[in-house]
Amino acid sequence: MLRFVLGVAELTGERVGAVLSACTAVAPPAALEPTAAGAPLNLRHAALGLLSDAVRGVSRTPARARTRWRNMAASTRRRAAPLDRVGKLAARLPGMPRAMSRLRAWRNHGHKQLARWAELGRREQADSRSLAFDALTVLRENMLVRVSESPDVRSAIREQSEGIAVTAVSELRERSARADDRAERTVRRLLGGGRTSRTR
Amino acid sequence: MTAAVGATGQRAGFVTRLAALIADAIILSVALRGTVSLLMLAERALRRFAPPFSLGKLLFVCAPVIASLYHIVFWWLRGQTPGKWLLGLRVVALDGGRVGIGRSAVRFAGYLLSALPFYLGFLWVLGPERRGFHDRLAGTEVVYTRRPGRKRPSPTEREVVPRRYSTA
Repeated sequence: MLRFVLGVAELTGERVGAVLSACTAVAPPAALEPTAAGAPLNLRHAALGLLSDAVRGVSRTPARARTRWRNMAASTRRRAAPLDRVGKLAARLPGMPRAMSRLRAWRNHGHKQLARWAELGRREQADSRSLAFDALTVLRENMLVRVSESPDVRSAIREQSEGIAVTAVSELRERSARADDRAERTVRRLLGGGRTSRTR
Repeated sequence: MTAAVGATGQRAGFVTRLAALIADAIILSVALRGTVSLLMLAERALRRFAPPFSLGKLLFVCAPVIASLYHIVFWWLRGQTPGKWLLGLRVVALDGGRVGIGRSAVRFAGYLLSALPFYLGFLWVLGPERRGFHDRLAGTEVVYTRRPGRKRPSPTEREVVPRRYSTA
């Protein structure tokens, strides 16, 4: 179930993204005119602006935090230069190499575990996508079959087509009948009959 | 004008009848050409088992006979060819009765005779009686199947009868 939900969420996100990109590609942004000084305050616009500001702030946060972290690390390195020597001395302490090698082993193990999880997640994502895709395809086909087999829909389509055909044929007959009269009047006028008479 | 009104209804004019003739010609040519092409294709595919003469070519040669049969049989059985049905026309005898096979054959012969002097026999339809040479020869007239100007109500305009669902 979780796999299915994940897949549906992924596919929906993808579809929505595609639609949004298509929309932005099609509709060029309209040029906005600045609001006049004395214009009444629109609360909806204010709420939208607040939301947009918040989203922009959140999206900028990682970059800001990274810069701060870099500055902090640089200052720490400058301040901890004397401590470096202490660290080298500590590395020579008895039992320290063994502890270091164990630490390295743990780190490698952690890396491997992370890689395994990443691989597992990738597979899970692919499985959930294919599961959701299959399920949604079957669902869509079933719905289409149901709709197309529905007697009401069928009768509506039949009536519509019949209506179009009947209207077209009636129109053709009307026009040709009018053309008959017009042709006869023209011929009579050309032959000098003078009197134009309607047959209807 | 009373001359253009026949025993069973208003007589059809030149343009409608010409349109019906063109529709019939299209139907006939499409059907004939399609059949000839299919036969030729079948002969090419079954070259070994094909008959000694070409069925497609035979059909092509017989096209005038088929065209005459098409008109005569349709006039005789239904009083209208598909083209005339499309334009809402019907061929009837002058007294309003159905057209027999003999009258249909005479009418078709009249078609050929009408065409001989520069289609003058057909142009006769433009006269006040709305009858061509072939009509006069066979004693027939072509009338509208329904009076122009009255449209049949479309399915959406018809009265909607609520469907009853049985509770059983």
